[in-house]
Amino acid sequence: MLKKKLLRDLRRNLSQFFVIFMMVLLSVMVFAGVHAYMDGMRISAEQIYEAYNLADLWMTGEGFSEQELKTVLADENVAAANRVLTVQVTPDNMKDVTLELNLIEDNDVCRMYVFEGEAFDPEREDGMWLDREFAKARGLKIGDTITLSYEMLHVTAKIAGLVETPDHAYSIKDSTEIFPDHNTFGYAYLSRNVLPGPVRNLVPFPSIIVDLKDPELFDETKARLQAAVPGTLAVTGRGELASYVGYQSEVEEGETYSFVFTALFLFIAILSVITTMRRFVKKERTQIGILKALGFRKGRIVRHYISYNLLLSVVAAVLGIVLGAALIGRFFLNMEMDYFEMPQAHIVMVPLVYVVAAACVLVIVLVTWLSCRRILNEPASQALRTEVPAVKNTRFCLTTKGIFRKLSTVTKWNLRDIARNKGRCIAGVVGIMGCTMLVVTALGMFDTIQNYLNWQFRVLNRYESYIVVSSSCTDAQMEALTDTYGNETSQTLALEVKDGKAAPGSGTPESEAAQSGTTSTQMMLVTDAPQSLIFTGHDGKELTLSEEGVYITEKLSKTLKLEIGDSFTWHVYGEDEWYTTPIVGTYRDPQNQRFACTKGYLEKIGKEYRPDTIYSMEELDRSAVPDGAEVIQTKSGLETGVQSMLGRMTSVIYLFIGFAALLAVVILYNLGILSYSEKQYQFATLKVLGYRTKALRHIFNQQGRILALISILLGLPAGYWMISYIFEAALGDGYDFRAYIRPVSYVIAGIGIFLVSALVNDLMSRKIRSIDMVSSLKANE
Amino acid sequence: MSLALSLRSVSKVYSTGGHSFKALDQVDLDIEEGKLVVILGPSGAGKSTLLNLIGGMDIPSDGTIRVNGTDISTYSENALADYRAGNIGFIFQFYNILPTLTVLENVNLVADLSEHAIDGKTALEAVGLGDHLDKFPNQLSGGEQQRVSIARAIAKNPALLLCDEPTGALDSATGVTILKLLKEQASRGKTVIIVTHNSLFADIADVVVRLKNGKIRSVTKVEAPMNIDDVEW
Repeated sequence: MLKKKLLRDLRRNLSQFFVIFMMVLLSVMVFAGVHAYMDGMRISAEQIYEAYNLADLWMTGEGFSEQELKTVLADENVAAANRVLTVQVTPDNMKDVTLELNLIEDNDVCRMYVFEGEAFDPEREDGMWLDREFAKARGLKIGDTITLSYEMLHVTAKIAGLVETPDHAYSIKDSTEIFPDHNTFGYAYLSRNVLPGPVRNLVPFPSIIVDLKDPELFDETKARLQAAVPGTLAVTGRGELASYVGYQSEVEEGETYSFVFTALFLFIAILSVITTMRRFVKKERTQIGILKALGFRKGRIVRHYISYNLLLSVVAAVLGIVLGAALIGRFFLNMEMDYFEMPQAHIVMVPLVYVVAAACVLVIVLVTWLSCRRILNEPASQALRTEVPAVKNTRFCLTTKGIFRKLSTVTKWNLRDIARNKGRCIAGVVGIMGCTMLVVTALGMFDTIQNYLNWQFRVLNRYESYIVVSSSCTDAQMEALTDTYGNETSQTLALEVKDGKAAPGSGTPESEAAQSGTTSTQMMLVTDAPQSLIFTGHDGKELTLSEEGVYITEKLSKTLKLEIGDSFTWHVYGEDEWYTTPIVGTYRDPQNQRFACTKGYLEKIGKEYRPDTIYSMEELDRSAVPDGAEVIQTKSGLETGVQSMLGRMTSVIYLFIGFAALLAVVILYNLGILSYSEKQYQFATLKVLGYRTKALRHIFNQQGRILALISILLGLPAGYWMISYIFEAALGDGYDFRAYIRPVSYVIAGIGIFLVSALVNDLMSRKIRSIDMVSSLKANE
Repeated sequence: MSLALSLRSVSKVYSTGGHSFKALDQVDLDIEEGKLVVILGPSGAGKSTLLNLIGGMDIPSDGTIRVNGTDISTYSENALADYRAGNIGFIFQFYNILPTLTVLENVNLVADLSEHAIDGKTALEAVGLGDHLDKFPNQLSGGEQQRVSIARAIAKNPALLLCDEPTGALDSATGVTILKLLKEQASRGKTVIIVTHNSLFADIADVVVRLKNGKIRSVTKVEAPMNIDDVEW
């Protein structure tokens, strides 16, 4: 019989229970959805990395011989190894494209996942295995022909297979890009046999990719290989592979979202449960008394009232898991896979999701019990009596003093009503605050990326194009290049840096081998491009680099614990000479955390400056790569990738805003109903006294406006905090751009939420017209 | 201010769940100004319905209610609100004062509604609550709360005071105090209508209206109403 009562009560109080249902649904849905794609990405990657032999170790040198490869293969911990030559080229007739060309002999490590076409054949002389995403973006198919030119060589190959490889999950052109743009950048594999016969054996292979039997023994293997192959300039692991790191950091980013949103929705759900159940049980007080008087045991009555939310939260949690995986999980996975290349990527539900869903249900049940227990514990005789409203005077004292005395009676009444119904008001404030946070976060994401774009492409990089100089560029070619494109140049050095501060010794070469202690790999930008490359200090103002030492980005200085005035010791990979140089300044860079110095300082410490990049203030033709150059990149090309990402982000932002508005409507509607039912008899009294409906609606709406204003004022800074937290947690160590929200975004978020709130309040206040004075006052009696 | 009331063939039918119930049936009644009128009858007789119709809280299903010659049974919602605001002072059994407003604020709440309202403080002093202005309702006894309700009603300076079981929730001593206040209002020219099931009220009334099953059984004019203190409560 009580089951019938339960179902009828649920139907009668549909809107209040609907909010509890929605909040539990959203909490679980967000958590399950985000985890479904996040864990899906992680597990899909683990499976592909394992099955397709993602390399564990990368050896870099001038060019490894066949014998050196055999030496590597002979190591006890090496399972497989391949030599690779990687160059960036622009295919003929695709002037806006940069293709990363990998010339290989075999494909045992970082094996290709073939989507279409045939498997890699090292003997084939005209085959190309092309990045599937690039092919899709460019409309290329099996059998199409691509012609490439690299220095003096011209190669024409047919697309033999459309592939993805585990080391290209996150495939960007270079460190100046953040987001992959498959339309302008792709990768391809060619067999060495594609080259003309006489050239084949002359190909230098500057990389060996190695699959280890036991990746745990990386350090020992690295030391052994460095010793066994003297030509090795650097040995790196997965931690230094941009693809691996980029993919991993994207997966970890999801954890931040899932935590923040689940906590927010669950918190609102708990508040909704507290306010709704307290009021509901209060309303049911007499019925509880009747049930007790009839002989129902306390435990059974408790179970009955708990079962309302148990039923709802179980259904919501199950639905949340299903919808979270099906909608949010798939949506985000598909979106991620627009950027990342991971064959067979699929969503995964890990046991944690079920545990969290069960925990949500338990929390709701517990809160329900805590909310109801006082009334449920009352003896039957007491429960059958009308409860005397408890109004503590102290709550209202504030509004009888000071400036509050001057407020209108209606305002005072509303303020006291808020104080009297704290639970409902706090639930409302937190709910609307959450919605404001969502909108601010959504707009802030857009603003932050725009701000980053402005900083990166308008403030720091003043050039229009840059030319990557080939490593084999001759002096004559370099002279010709600088004659044509100007003298704005830079060089990027890969450094091995000793951890910790060194004894001061500006520019002192240290001939002895590396001292004991750990080292890290860092980059140093040597600039001779004062017009093209700008540096900014902590406050964003331009900085002129002195020739007295090295500069370090603020973020890297924190990582390495180096401050201005400290010295540090380093050498360039491939060179033996160690230097100890002072830090003379710090600067901020949004996406490259590294050292920087001027050409003058480099030469001052006795090192030769050999530019690897030439900057031009003109937008160059990317297909007209001159002799001695490897590739031409334009700023507009770089920006296009980010802009396309922003375009996609816009739809997510609209989704966020729509979601926030929906949430606001649901919360406000529920609280409006609670608020209305609390005030119904008071409004009936005022109506009897002669107040017109319009005046009463004004009173009702005023309270809504006060609460909305408080919520928005709290929600705006909370939104900033949330986006700062998301960016801090989501961006890797390589990035340093903070959350930025334009004032207009705050205004839009504030006004938007206020209008939604005003609209819902106004709709709710229409119920006042239908208050039946007679029955309302009778009911109160 | 004074008010004369005239009800002709007034009926009120409530319909719920396909069933209809006639709470008032063809009621004719004339009430002169400045009288203390007591409407008596058992539960379900239609007393409160009659009071609600006179007070403009409800509209009749049939018939006319004329106030100083104007038919209020055809008034719009806003016109009825204005009628209540300007002419009627309500006093309820359970006081219906707003718990979150102080005593003075509760009374002042109506000051804006009526053109001829009197100062809230004066009204409260008139009911003996001049020392309780800043208290909240829950700091007062039941009798004091009812006096706030009366002060609120008279603060509008209405022509008609409608009282629904005004002493129903009070002990007899407090009830007597309240009745004296109401009688005092009648002596000042206001029409006071009290709805009650307590037949002792008939002794102090100028006019006694008896209702049963929605119909008026009798209307009695009392030539010499008793003094309240002389009634054995």
